[in-house]
Amino acid sequence: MADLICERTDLSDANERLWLALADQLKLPLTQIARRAELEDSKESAAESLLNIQQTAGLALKLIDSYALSVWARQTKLAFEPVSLAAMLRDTADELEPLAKRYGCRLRLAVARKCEPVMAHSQALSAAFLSLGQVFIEAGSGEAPGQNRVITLGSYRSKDGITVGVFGGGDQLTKGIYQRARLLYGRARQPFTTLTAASATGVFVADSLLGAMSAPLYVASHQKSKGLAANFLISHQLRLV
Amino acid sequence: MNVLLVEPDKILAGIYQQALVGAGHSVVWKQSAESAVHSADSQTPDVVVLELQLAEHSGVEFLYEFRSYAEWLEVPVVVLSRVAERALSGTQQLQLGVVAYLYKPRTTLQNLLRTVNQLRKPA
Repeated sequence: MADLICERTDLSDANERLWLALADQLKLPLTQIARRAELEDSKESAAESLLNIQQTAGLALKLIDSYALSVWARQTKLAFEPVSLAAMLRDTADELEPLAKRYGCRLRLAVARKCEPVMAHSQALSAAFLSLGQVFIEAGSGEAPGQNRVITLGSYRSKDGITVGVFGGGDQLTKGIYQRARLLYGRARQPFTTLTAASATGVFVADSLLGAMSAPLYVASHQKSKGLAANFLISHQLRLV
Repeated sequence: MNVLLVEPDKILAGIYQQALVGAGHSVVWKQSAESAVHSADSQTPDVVVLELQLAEHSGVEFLYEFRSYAEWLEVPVVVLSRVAERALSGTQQLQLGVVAYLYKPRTTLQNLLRTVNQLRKPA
């Protein structure tokens, strides 16, 4: 009984912290929308401006959905199904492309062959990588066009199975910094100060979703680029089908 | 006026830049405290519009660094931050030459322009 109470308290604390981080994160897209709508002498056409507002609002709504999904995922037993990582990463890249363009980042797909399928909850996996990709894009923009980072959505075989992640977080992204950020989110405005100025909620929403699939995020490197990744076990039986 | 805009988000920076340029100011946008100090070194701004929540070094660290140079002591700073509660006490704001503290989500472009325009030196 004591264990049960303790577990519920932890869950409620985690939800509350994630909620606080989400509330802080949402200030950014909502401020972007409010200020853009106010801009009278915009260089953009009205149609372009509306499209930008629509995209910003769309991604903010997806983050809210991902948060809600993460709360639900931790309270229920997720039904796994075979998921193609290549297709999932391609769809994620397609969804993130307009945002990457606006932030001047370049998205790259690096999917190793023979890396699938993996057993996962399809919706949770997509939501996790969309949230994660969004954080890396927002953090990866630079003042000058030449400074912008390349963000890689990738998967590769590793000793633990199949690793899938988002890479391009800069050299300062370390295991220690990530562990500290996990302790600080929802308690500090900037848990991930080396990565982004915002609350990096997408990272913790992704971690929560992936954690519900027993594949929590960790700091990994891929093709000399640092990022956050999760490990999944390959389904040998499914590969035979 | 020459405005040094220190804003971490590229999209918001673009919007503020457009509004300030439209009001007749010239704007240099910097994303980090470090590059903002370098920028001020090459061209002293007439006013700094500063977000306190920056990646790596914070806006508060920037302010202390900025004020440590005699030639920048008189440059007014407008804080435009997503931090609702005042991250700087009234005394700190006075000491660091913060002339206005604006909460970003509730500050319209008009409010920002009014605040910056008020700092124009009489000809």
